[in-house]
Amino acid sequence: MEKLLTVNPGLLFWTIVNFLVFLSVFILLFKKPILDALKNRELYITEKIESAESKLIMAEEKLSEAEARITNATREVNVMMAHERENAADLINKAKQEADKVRQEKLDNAVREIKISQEKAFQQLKQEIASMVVLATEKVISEKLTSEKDFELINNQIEKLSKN
Amino acid sequence: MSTQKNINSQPENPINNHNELNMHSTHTDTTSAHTEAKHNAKEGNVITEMLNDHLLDHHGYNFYDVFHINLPVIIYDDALYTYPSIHSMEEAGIFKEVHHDIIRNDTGQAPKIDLSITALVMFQWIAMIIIFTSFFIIKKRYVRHPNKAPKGFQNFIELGIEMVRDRIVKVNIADDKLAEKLTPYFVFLWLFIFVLNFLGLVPGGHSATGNLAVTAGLSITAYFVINGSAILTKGIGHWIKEFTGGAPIGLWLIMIPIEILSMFTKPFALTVRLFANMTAGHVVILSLVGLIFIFKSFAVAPISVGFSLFINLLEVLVAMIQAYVFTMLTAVFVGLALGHGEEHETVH
Repeated sequence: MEKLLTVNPGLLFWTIVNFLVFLSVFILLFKKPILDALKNRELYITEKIESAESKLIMAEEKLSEAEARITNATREVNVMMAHERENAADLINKAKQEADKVRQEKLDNAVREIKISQEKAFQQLKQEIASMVVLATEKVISEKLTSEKDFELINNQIEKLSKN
Repeated sequence: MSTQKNINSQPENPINNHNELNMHSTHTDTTSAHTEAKHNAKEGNVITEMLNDHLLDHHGYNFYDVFHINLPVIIYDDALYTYPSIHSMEEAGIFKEVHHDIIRNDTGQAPKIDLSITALVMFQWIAMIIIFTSFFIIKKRYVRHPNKAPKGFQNFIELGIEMVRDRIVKVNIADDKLAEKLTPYFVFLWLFIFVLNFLGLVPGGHSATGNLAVTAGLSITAYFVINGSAILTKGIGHWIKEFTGGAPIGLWLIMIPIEILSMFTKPFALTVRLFANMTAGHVVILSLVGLIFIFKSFAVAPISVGFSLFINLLEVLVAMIQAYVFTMLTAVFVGLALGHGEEHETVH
């Protein structure tokens, strides 16, 4: 086991040579394409992050502007809507009043026409009755009247009248 | 550290002792308690040899006797000797291998320097192949789509890179430019240790970070990075001034030796911490498995295997944590070397 604790100078020499040679080759072959590439990528990522952050700030500014605009527009729209609601209510009231007026006028006209028609009908009825009375009188005069014939004659005229 | 060792003075190969042991066990003279004690001691040697086989470095790689990879042997003694494998070295007749060490046939001494490509060197290369392959796979995506989000395996690699950069380097090294410059080093250091640690957990794998030479090598590079970055950033004058630890002149006599000592204790601590943590788990697992052979009973097996499995799972955690700790401490030491130690202390 004591050999384990002795240093072989040949192996020591080869270790140092191997290490230095391989380190040189490693630096020569891989430093630029890998280690420098890593660093460059980090720089690239850092730049991108910074750019993204500045864009984010700009976007946030625009967003706040847009939000302010939206708030203003909403306020304006609300005012306009309230105004329009009032207008609409006025229009509806006016339309209702006009409709009521028209309805009342038409109702008055109808009542008036009905009265006129009634009056006309009464006039015609009066005329009819008068003419019948004349006719009846004429028949009564031309015939010798009895109380039964008078009564029958009057009943016939009344039935005619009711049929008309 | 001298590598001159008389290998012949070491005890005989325990495996041979084991064979000898079997012969002894069949012997009719069973009455001797002394023989039994010797028997147990030699069983212990077998376990030790098993531990050595697993934990020590080798001049070749053997995957459960399924295949064997011969590794080149490079030796400098009176001249430079190179062989394609350990077998061809032994065939040449100048050197031979005894207990994983190379010695001269004529003198029995180890050569001055053994620069052979060993199994642990090979595992460092395997780690590199894994790391480079992984990075080549994800490299295309970075080139084609540099600004797109990572996908799949790329996520895993990126997670590691960003963890090292943001949670280790940037938080400990106050100088941003230096932190940026050192990031590839720390990323590579973390990846290298991470993969080496995990290779030790793969069946047939060896943990290179469980060897003092490997962790010492990594710590030596860390030592130069720590002090080099302090000198390059703040200047040599500031670096020397840091040896006073910001103490009044009267305390300099105490502070300067302490600070100079701490300059070396830091990499030493890194070396030992990683080595000990990675070795400990393997030793415990192999010891638990060794209990089965020592007790020679199937009854021990479920306990040994259960505990081994638990320790192995713990090793997965240790492998990740130690890679992080080594990298983190190196970054902390760089930060302290830059002269921010006082600030950190006052904050805490």
